Amino acid sequence: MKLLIVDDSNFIRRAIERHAESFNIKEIRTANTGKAALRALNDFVPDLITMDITMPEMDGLTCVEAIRRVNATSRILVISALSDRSMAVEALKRGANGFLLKPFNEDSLREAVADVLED
Amino acid sequence: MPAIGPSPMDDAQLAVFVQLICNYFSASTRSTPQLGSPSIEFGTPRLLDYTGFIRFSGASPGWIYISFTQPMARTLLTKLGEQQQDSEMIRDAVGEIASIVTSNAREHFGSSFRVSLPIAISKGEDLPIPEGMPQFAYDINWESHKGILGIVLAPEAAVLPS
Repeated sequence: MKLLIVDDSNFIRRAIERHAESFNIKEIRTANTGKAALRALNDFVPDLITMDITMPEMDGLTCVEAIRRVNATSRILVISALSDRSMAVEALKRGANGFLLKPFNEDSLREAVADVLED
Repeated sequence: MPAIGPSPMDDAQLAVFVQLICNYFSASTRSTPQLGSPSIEFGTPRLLDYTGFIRFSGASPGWIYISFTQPMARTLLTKLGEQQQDSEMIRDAVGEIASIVTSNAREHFGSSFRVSLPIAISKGEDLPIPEGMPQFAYDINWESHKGILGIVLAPEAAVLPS
């Protein structure tokens, strides 16, 4: 399985990467902005994308929408600390497949990834 | 005449941030900190080695800061399994933790509560917020370390004792 991690925080990217290594994920790439994520998708088709919302240049919801114009197959898990229900609803409306609230740990990430992949 | 400008932040609203910092540690490290009573301060914030700031807007605008000593930050990173513990990583971590705690408050304050991107500084660097603002500072006691959670209110948003 291939994973693209999109988050402007290296601290978070590395945390997801550490946890994902135990999820049978073979290839992991990272992007620190929405625009970098779109560039990465030019030559990389991940099975799963984890997407932050609050990022400079292009926010995660706009990025999800842009990804869905060209890629209908990758599963997208939005991972954000913005905790109101409307944000999760908006993420799903834009094309995400799931929403995980920060802070997360290995167990909550594993469960969210499984839900998004099985959905 | 109706009041113009931000509404005050009361004890219950301040307690939201205390609960959220406890939630952060509890969810990510399974070790919950103890926070004391707040001290009310007006001068330059008491900052430790690394501090993350977030500006928030809404009914009661202001800033949240979370400040850690270097040993506290390194203990936290170790508990999270992060082996890279240089200054750059610690700054990124304190900024992100401040962002997570503040963003989690949207559930309590509604969608008009908006947060900025984090700004992280090391001790001695220029403050990214105006000085002399009223603030509530809570000591964070965690794993034999001390950190600080600060809530800085725009002057109109502060309810201070007479």
